[in-house]
Amino acid sequence: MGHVDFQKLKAFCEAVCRCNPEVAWIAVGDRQGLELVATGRISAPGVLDAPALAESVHAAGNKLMHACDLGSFDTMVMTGTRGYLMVMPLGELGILTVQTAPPPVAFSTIRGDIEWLRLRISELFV
Amino acid sequence: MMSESPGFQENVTGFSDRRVDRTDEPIPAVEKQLKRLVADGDLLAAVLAGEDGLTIVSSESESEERSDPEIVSALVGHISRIRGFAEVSFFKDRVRDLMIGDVSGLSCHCRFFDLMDQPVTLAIVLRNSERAEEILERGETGIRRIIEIHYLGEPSDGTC
Repeated sequence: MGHVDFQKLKAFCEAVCRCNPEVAWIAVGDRQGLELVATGRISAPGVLDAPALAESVHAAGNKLMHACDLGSFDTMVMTGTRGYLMVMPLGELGILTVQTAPPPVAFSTIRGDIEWLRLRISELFV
Repeated sequence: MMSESPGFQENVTGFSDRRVDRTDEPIPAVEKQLKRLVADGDLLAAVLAGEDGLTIVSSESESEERSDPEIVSALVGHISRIRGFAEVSFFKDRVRDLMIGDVSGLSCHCRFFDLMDQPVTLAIVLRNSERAEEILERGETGIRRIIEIHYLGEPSDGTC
């Protein structure tokens, strides 16, 4: 992985957290499951484990898509009582994990901002 | 005389028997239910599978773009493992839905629930995921109703 501007990375994540009160936290981890940046309510349970969980989900997702002859793994969203947990790969750069409030908050309402964040992060790594 | 099929939106309300094309045999009835979901929701496939990835009932689209139900069931088997891991390590509770999408916009949405105390997964594959939750809700309700009325005499929530 090349040079990364962690200040900007954190600023982008914080911007999304600030604009979306439904977002509990955002974590960006590397491909080894180590945390690079975490913003939002980072004392919430699960934040510390998020990059490692995301890495496992990502690895399983990729194998799964390949085994089933689908395209590359793009997104995984799980819905539970603790909210939505979204895992998005950032190519070679790492993995983005976001937790939001549980239903009835509609995940689609913040999906656009998460996509925006993903794009900005990808640009940071160019 | 049977009235014409009500639209998808109208079908999701209430819990009374709304099936247009019906049978009293539970598995063919669930198959008809899935077929209807595929047609109304413009799905590539709909599958009811066990946690082990074995198909219980399935239906696939009649259009050119369709998904092989056996592959979807296999996907469910793998997804169940990911879900189990997430439940233990993160959610500390049951995961209700899981969606996995590929870069082309194709996505598989899974709803996990118990049917007669057996864990099952309803999986749907579609391109436009906006209505996925609504379709899963309708599918789960319909399947529950068919199975519970057949084996218990009434739905477990007591509605008729």
